[in-house]
Amino acid sequence: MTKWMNINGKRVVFEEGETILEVATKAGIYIPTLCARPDLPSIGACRLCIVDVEGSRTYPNSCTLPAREGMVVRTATPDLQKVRRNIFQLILAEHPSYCLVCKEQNECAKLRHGEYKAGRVIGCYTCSHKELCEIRKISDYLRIKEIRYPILYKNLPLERDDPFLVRDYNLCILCARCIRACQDVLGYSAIALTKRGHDTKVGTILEVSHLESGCVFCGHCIDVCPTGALIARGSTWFGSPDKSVETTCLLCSHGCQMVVDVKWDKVVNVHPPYEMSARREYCVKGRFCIPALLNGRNRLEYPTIKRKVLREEHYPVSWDEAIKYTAEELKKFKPEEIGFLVSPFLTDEAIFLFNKLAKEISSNNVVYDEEGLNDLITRRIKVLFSTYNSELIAKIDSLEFLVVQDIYQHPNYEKANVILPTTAFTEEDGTKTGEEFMKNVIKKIVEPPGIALPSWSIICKVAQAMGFKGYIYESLDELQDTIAESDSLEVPLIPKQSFEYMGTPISEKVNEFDLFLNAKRIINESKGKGMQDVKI
Amino acid sequence: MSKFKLLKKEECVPNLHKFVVSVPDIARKVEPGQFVLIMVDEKSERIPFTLADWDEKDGTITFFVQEVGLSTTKMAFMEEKDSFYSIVGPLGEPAYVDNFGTVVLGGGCFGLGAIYSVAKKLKDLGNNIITILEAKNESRLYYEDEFRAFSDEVIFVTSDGSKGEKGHIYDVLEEMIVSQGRKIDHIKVIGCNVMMSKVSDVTKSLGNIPTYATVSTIMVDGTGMCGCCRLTYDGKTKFACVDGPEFDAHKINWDELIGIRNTSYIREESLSLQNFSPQCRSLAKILAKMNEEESI
Amino acid sequence: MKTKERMQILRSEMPCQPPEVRGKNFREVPYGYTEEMAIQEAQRCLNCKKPKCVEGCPVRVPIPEFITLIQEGKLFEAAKKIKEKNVLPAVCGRVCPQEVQCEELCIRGKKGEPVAIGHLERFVADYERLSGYISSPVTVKKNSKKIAIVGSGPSGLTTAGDLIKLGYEVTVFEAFHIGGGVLVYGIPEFRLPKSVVEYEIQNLENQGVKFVYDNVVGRIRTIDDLLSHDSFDAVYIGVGAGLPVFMNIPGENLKGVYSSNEYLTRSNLMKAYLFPDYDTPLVLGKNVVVVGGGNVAMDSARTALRLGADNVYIVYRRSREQMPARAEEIHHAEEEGIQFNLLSNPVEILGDEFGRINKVKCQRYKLGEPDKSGRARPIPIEGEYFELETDLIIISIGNNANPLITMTTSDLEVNKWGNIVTDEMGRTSKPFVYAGGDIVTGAATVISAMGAGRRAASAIHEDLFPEKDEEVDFITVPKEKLKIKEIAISPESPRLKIILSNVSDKPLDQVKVTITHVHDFFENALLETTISRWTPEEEHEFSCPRMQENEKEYLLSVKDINGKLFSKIIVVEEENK
Repeated sequence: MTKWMNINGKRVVFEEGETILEVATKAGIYIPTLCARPDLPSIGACRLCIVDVEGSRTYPNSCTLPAREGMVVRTATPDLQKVRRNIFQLILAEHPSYCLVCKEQNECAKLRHGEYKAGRVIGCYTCSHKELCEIRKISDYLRIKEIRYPILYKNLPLERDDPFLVRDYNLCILCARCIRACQDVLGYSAIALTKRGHDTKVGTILEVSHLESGCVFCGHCIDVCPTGALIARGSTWFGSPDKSVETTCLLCSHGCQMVVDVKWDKVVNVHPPYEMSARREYCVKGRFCIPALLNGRNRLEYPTIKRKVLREEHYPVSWDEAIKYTAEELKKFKPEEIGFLVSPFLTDEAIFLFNKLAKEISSNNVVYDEEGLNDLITRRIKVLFSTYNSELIAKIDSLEFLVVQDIYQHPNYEKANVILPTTAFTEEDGTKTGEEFMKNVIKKIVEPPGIALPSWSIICKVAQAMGFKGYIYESLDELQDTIAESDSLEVPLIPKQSFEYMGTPISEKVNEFDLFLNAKRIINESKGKGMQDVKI
Repeated sequence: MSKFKLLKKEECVPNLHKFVVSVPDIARKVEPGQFVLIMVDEKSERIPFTLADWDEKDGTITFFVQEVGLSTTKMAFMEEKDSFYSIVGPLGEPAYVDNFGTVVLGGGCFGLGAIYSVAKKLKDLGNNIITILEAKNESRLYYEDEFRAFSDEVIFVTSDGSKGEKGHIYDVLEEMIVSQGRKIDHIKVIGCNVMMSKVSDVTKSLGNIPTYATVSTIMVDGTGMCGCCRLTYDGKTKFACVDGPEFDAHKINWDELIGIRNTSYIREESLSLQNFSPQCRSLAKILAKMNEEESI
Repeated sequence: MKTKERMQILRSEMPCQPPEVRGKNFREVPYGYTEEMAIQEAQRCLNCKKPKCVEGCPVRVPIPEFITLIQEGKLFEAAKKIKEKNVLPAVCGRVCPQEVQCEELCIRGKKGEPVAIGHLERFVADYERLSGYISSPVTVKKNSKKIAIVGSGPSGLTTAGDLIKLGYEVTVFEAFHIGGGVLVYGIPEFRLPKSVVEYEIQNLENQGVKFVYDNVVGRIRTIDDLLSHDSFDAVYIGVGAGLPVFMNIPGENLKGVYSSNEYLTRSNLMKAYLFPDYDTPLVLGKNVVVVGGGNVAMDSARTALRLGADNVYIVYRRSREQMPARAEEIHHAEEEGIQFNLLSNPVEILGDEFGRINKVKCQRYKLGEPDKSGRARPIPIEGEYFELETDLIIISIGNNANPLITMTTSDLEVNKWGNIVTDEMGRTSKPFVYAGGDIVTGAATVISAMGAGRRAASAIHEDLFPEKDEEVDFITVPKEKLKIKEIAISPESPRLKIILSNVSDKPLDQVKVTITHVHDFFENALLETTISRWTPEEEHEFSCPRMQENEKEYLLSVKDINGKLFSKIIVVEEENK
């Protein structure tokens, strides 16, 4: 049976168990709040979501009050707003919010753009969260023009000794969203409210570092924080992104959906989609490592061929030259002498094409991991087309010709005859089969570095140059149709507990991940456990 | 090479750090108002800092660093015993000093510290010194005792009125000159360019009281080679690194300096901060704690 | 081989990165000669009785001799031959304008192409460098005279290289944190890899030249200080022409207007092209206008292209023939797609409301009668203007003398442009002060600065030691001979103990071991001892007093009869109490 209630003179429908805040939000009626969030249990901490309920002597919190049949509620009466303003001003008095009411705001914005991107936040003009700040939004809604209480700067030290996170609790308004996300939703309890009374603050129990507190660095606390108190070190200071695109994370077979923020054509941040339904546990790799992993130094930008001038070195060449050279060399060998080491990180399309090409030259030597590569070594292959950085490839004695395709340069490629630059998973379109045969979509979100090409397009070019027909695809769609039509493709899964991307160790490109792993190893060793216990 | 050792570092007020570094050559030669160019490590930018103090005997120099971007954050992460990759100086022309009579010194942010050496020198020359220290909030004022030792009068001014007068240096100046009718012979200001330009406007309108400002510009080489720090002064192009950094404030084209020359790299600043991953100090702490436990 | 056969060989062109690829990376453009190509090219040389080419070379490299050695396959000897006259062959082979120097006078050029002298010089220098062997001169007897060289650019390095061979104690003062002057801040990586410069400086260090970085002479110490306080016997000023010239047109201080000095210094010295791995940023233009027609303009234009510009325009007042840039650079720039707007010059830079440039207004020019420099004078055409859309302008119309040194030195005569006045040997108006390179001549080439450095070195030697010294021999020595086995502080007395071992397979002669405090600039040695013969695997213990408790850093330097073996900073950590 449908139930009805009345908000601001509007009849709205609700379901049993819903709070007034939920009902109002669904009906498009705004009630300000700093502590409630659809994906967290409500506790009524900020008291900004108070409403006027007919027949009630006080103003109850709408986030905790369940809706009842026939209830009459008002959300913004003059008296209510007055009380709200007062409550809000008390919050502001303990938050460095002088800029909110500063009369020189406009002039300041004009003159100070770009300054102060560091350290503790001492006003909105030094806050990285300014453009996303929920306090500012509510301040606008309540039309705050002055703060009647003296502003107290707590003068707490900036907590930036941990990897990935910077915490400035001078900004914290004690809404406890982070604690609820950590304790109630994810069950880690890495953080809690510590101390009492005026000294109450968010922190770890016993004030140990987050590395020791059981924090897994999933970053949920950052995602729910309404202020700039919690920030991700690498992804801050970009302001609002130029675009945000939902795609699939390809760092393991789990296939988490993630939102990639792009600014100035660079991946600058990765976070979960806002809605609760899509929310699942993120790992430290996906949440914090992707921008630095993909934007790192030494990305391969152009093809190179090994030549001897004074000594043997890799010299930059054009794609045409690199492909022509590769194809000509490949043709000189017998099918069984040619091997393919195909990275499981590649898209389904690329893997399909590698198999197709191998079949075409009648080589059975397509392998997906080091075990398979060992197998090829015993078969004494003479040519290897590798898309995966492995120490083994530098050690194959029988090898006469080595083609590698990667996103990064590695010392193992010293011997390679041709090095081809390819795209990372944010730089190409495609599909990737994950766990439970889930077909995940990946999207081209940013331009690849230099003249790097997607793997599928490289393999098509090589096949064509070798003289094979049927490698001309008008578009990726056409290729995908062909795959759908063909026999079911067996696709290797990306290892779940992996510390790398296409053979590039994440810790090599992301210094903080290295620190994180080191710390976890040391802590585990001290408890007599090994690295296998480090969950990422 | 560990030539430039950091001997002492403290955070005086939020984001503002005092550095004492061993550079005997510079300590021997520097004059008030000169600056040094610093590279934290071999990949760093070169950034200028006006010296606040020095000690020829110990061979040390003192300067203040406000955390505003990548290089200054790197500096904030330094610990005592660490070393700088490169410190070049003393650069620039010394401040213009003389026995002027009554001198007002105005400092804001990093300028509070930077004006200190000039204050000492002017006191030695027999001036009557009035120091005005400005900050957004009480929690950002520092160096009070040091200035009291060399000033005949110290005035505080905060934007939110949490300590001393409410307002800005130029408000206080205006009140001193207009309402109280005090005679001021010379004014020097160091701080952000916006504050200095406003002081310049006020003192110009109040009868062209001689006002000198130490400008902050982006620099690369600091020897007049690149022209990055150029500004228009009295209709001509001047270089802050060799012609300044102190200039007659009334002749500077402030609009150009504030709005144009100094805001070129906003995007790049954000990108370089993305790549910055400092040494994780909690790891070091964990290790230290474990060693301690082991030794017990 | 007969002359007729030699005449039939065609010039070997040096293979290069294809333009569409190199326009997007900072790797060196030419790959270099292979050994076969070099020998073939060398065989084109007719070994003239009166070689004209040498006359074209400002440092008089014995060109026919070194080319003959290449023909014979004696490549190390060829390198040694060049180094008799040129301390920076790998640099000169890359940046000299050979087409107006040695190669212009080559007899083969009269009918067809001249011998590729520059390419060959580059080849032998690279061959020697990449082989891992270095030739360094036998240490001559020290003559107890100290020379200060101000600036570590090409002329300073040449002077230092010449003087160290004559037994002087040479100290080079450099304002930047690394040495090389214009070779590191001015010339981009794709034209002169910085590893080449680094190697050459290391070479000089191995020979005993001392480099003092982060030291702005004129500020931290003046020329007068160097002569009196620091008791140098002579000072050579080779500071270059480091004062950018601007056009003095409206809009020049808008956001997006760079001097080429700034643009190239950021990119080359501060490695902004590797941003954000390196911290120094550079504005990346999409439509870039470079004003000027010299090598620096070409370098700026090609750097901008490599940093991702869609369009790069050169705006130059005269026509192509008058461009002062090296022919090869103009050719490379053109191949890469740099667009030339000749016979035009900017008259105004226009910006938007945020002070960022968006357009540049240029006036068209025509050529008139030749001026004093012999080049046709450009004359503006009344009323003919055009506009270019742009977001980055690099002004590259030359450099004046930087006044920092001349301002702070007493009795130093300068001309009306601020250049130091010298005689043809580099003697200034001030006794025992010499100068050369761009600070004397105004902006010129690397090799002419090297020529000036070489002349000044001989003038210094003549003035300090009026009689002639004998020539210095070169020998080839491998690296890495000694290793530190142990460092300790003795607990009873505060002494530092270091044990060194000979890890080479040959005995070392006349090994001099010195320990000083790192911070003691004038190196009052705490220990100075010589071991006349040190056999392989033999260990020696050295011990010295520690002057102050808190002094923890020591410089250990070891030289043998062939020059410097290594120097290392040792940090002594206090033992836990």
